[in-house]
Amino acid sequence: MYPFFSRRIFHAIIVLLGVSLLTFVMMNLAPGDPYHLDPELRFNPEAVARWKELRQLDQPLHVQYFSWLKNMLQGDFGISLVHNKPVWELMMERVPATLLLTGTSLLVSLLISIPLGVFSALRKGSFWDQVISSFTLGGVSIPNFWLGMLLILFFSYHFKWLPAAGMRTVGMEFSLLDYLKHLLLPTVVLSVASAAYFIRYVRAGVWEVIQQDYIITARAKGLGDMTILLRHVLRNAALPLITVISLHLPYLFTGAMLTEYVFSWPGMGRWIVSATLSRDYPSVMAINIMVAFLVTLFNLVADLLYASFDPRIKYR
Amino acid sequence: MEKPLLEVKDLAVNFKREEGFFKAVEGISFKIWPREVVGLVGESGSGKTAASLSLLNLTSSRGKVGGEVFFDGVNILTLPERKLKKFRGRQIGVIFQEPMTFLNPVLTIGVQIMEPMVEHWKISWGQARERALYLLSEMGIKDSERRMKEYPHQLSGGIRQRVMISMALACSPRLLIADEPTTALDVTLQYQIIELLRRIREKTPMAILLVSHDLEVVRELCDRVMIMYGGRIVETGGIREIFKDPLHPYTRSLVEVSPSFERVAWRLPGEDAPFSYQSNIPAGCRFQHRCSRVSRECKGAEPSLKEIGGKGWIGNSFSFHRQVRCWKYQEGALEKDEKPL
Amino acid sequence: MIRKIMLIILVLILVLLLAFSFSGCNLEQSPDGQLRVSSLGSPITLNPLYVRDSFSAEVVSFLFESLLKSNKETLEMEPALVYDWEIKEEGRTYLLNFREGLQWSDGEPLTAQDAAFTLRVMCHPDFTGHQYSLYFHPIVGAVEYHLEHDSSLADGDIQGIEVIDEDTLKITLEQALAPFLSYLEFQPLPEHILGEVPVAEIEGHQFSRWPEVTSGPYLLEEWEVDEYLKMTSNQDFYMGAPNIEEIYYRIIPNQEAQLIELINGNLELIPTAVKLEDVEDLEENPEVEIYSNLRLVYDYLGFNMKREDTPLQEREVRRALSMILDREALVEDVLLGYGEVLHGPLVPLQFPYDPEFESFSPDLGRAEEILEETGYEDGFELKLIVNAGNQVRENAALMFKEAASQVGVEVNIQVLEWQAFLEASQQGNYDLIISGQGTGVDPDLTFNWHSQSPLNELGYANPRVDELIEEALVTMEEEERAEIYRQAQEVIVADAPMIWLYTREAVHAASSRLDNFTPHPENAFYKIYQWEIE
Repeated sequence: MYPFFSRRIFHAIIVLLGVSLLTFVMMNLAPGDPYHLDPELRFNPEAVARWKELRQLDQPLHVQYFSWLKNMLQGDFGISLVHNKPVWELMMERVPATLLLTGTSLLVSLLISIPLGVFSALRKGSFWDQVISSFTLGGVSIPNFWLGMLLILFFSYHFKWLPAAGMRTVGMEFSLLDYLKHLLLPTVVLSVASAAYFIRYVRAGVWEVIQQDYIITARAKGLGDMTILLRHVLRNAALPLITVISLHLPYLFTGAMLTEYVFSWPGMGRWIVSATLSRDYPSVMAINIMVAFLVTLFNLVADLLYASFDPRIKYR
Repeated sequence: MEKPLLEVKDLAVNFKREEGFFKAVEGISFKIWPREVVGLVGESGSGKTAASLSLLNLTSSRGKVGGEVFFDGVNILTLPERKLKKFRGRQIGVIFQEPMTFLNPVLTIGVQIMEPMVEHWKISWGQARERALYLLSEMGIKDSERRMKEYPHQLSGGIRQRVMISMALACSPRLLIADEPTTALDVTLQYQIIELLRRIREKTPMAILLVSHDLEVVRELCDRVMIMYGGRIVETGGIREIFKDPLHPYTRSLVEVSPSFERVAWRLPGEDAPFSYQSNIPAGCRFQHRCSRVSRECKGAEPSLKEIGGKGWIGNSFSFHRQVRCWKYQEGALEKDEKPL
Repeated sequence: MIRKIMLIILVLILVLLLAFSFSGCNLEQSPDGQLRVSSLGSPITLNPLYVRDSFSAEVVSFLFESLLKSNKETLEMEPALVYDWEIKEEGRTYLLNFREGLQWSDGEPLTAQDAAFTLRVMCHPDFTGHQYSLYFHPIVGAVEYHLEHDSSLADGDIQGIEVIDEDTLKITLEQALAPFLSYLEFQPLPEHILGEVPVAEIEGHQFSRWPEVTSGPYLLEEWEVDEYLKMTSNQDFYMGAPNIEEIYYRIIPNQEAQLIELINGNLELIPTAVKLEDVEDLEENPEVEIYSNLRLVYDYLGFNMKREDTPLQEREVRRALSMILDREALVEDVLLGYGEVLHGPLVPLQFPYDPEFESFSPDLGRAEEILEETGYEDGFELKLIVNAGNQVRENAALMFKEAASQVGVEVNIQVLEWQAFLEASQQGNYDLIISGQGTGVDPDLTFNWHSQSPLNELGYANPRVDELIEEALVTMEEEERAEIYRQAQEVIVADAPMIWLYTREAVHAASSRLDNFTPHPENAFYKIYQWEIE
């Protein structure tokens, strides 16, 4: 177990270093400079020099990179060049909303895809299986942006049932229902593609498992359908699904960026876009490191879950 | 006279394939009395496994089961799935041939042994555990406490098969269907498992249907044997009679190539097991292509399963018939020229 | 069993959906005295000295009051914190009288000291904003202070900034500077809060993120990042407490969502950012009022005169290219009439603006003739850069390309991401550029047209224009000054350094419940303390 972990952590560190270096180089190669935001500053070389000096941007690139690395290792992601505020704070202000949205969507898409996928596999070739299959095809091909606008048009503009923007009604007492109403449409948008994607894997996984000999054994024991499904089928079908979910999370995250824009959701999305456009190097570095870190972390968690679901897997 | 525990009438199993219906089992009928151990012998493809699984309607969704199966007087094939479940595992236990694939790889063997008891007897897992430990030690597994927490892949083949047997016996069924219980094992293990089954047979009032391709295994355990070929029963009889005096040419060849216990796999002369698709079932006797004594009438019509001689006895209560499906023993064509070996 | 569970899940989903839809039927109307305003983005800083984006500028205008303010129609300076002023010594000294009893929101007095402190901050060597180099270096002693002040704090004195008493500030300039009064439209910072903070740290100071001590009509109460800012009325505001008690500045980057929220009654005002295509529909809605006003910005198509060996070096070529675009059509078709064709660097509302003045009208034949006369009858190629995401400018670029091709000039359009656009424009890596220009309240032409100005991006240089600009700067009499600017405009336009395209109007959509909404060309929240909501 420990050798496995230390090896994985070692790999993760290499990956994170690579990501940070690549991001750093790409950011500096891209045209533009953070001080461009101030049009007057742009034409005042003296002020620009002073501005850069105060932020240590006048030093050679490798010095900048290593000092960034040193600070990052001490948990200091630096100060945003645009917001003049610790990047860590900027991130923490925005992470909860994104996590709420992606977390709910992941949950909802699993809640939708597992029953539908199982149903589809058990009734393979039936009318409803075909209905579900066409839904998955549609679901993965509908662009988030378009679906979001469509839902807003119907549910907010036409029927006036649901709000078109934000996370809550401003100026109102806290109300769970109000939060849920705001959460509903973005969650639907973000869940549709993921659910459609997951359904395919659940269906294929369950279909494969129910062909297995040990399912005949379970039936021969006279177990109830639900017991067979939950104890024998799903536990086995969960294995490939765990991998699929962990590989899908970055896509969910990317999808959330667009969805956040459409529904004016106060998450990471806007910050990521604006930080990139304004060449806010420390923010961009921190975001990339964070995303790379999360992806690595999820892969590790997936491996652990794998082991806990499948006793045949042992990490050494 | 006792009623038969299991009575099978005209059982047929058809598998739907792209090429058409594949008749795995066609019109077989037999009875099993309480405490009786019956062998069902045939080569692979003869339909013996399909026949045994179809008794509990366990064939896959593509398999269609016809005919009637009376267990204790109840036609279980007409029961709704919900009621049929009460027979599976509780009244009739099943041992499968390949314990590696028939055990769930992600559940501990403890859970797999306990779950039929929890399901049928509605007892707690704790109570089920007591019995599971008892069953495992009965099967000769030492250290059963530890074994309960292990997973199938951690066990050796022999232990796995013992686990499989414990599972089948968990709810003390009245009939045990053992589908090739020794095939996947090496010779020493085969012997141990046979010994185990023999002991179980002596200790419990349970009837056993032993499905095997290995006449020797059957000889070790059974009172009576049914020989299947091409989805049909071709001969039945007491185990000693069959070995002493095989009637059907197929039985005869089985007995001939079955001299010793060490032999694991064998092959009959002639072609591989025939695929009896509806389209290419030969007219006449199904064994004709491989029969050394084929005659004109064998190619004409299929012979019926014909009773030969009187009833035999096992123990003290039930009777059986010697039956054979061969033109040589049909009415009017009875053998005069030669006596079987 | 499975079917049953599927059914239960389906029913649950349906019930939830129904519950949502019924409860959602009555969208909440805002309580009385509450105004919800939309914005496409979040403010970056709330410190008025470091504002570089429009969102920050908007929020800062709620929270901070400036010394003076320009009138929304005449652009003349009007009293704010300073209620009266005198300009003496032929425009060299400014005597500013502050209102009596002004208070910061923490109850401390707001005095001339705070204004002097703020001026020192802007002249401090560690200050990285642009105000010193553009506006305040002409103050006596400011250059010295900027170059030689050796404390990290904005302490000490600048010779030309004298606090006569609590309510009087005297500013002395090296020489008369006509636009200087308009430079006093800055918002002072509280010295008692920031006086001990090193100037280099003010931009990142807590005060810039959450100013607790402010001077404006509203006080910041809540800030949910990227969601909204809540501001409540300042009961001690010098004009009296504003009518509207609470303002929610809602951040809604999706323009369609803004409209729907307005129509659904979840928003009372969309300032500036209404899409022109939507205006027609909105005008039919009885609950929505559309407002529009001219702004002090214009879009232009500039000729790069810094590059040598291009046909654009020749004035006649530039004049010819100035004749090919039908700007009236551009305003009608692309701006849907929400704008005016501009003919020179002076924009409407500024006092020297002459509505009669006209520059080139479209004349393809004449343009072709000129190109032939100058020896370019075979045409040439030009590279035009424009920033991505601005539909109107991209359309203008296409119209120009189309028109140019008719006189044999091939225009290659490069649509660039904002930072790449800025980089290219700064490096002069283009022949033609479509961009925008803010003029400010004062008609001063120094920044864009004086040959020595660093902001003169296109490289325009005409000694006569330099002369006129310099003359105008020291001319305090308005009519006289206006005449000089009109002269300068004629010279500049004759040189055809750019094609002035249009000044775009700001279009606002407001709930009909909102009264007294009077947008200023540079600030939609002008005199917000007078607004009312029914």
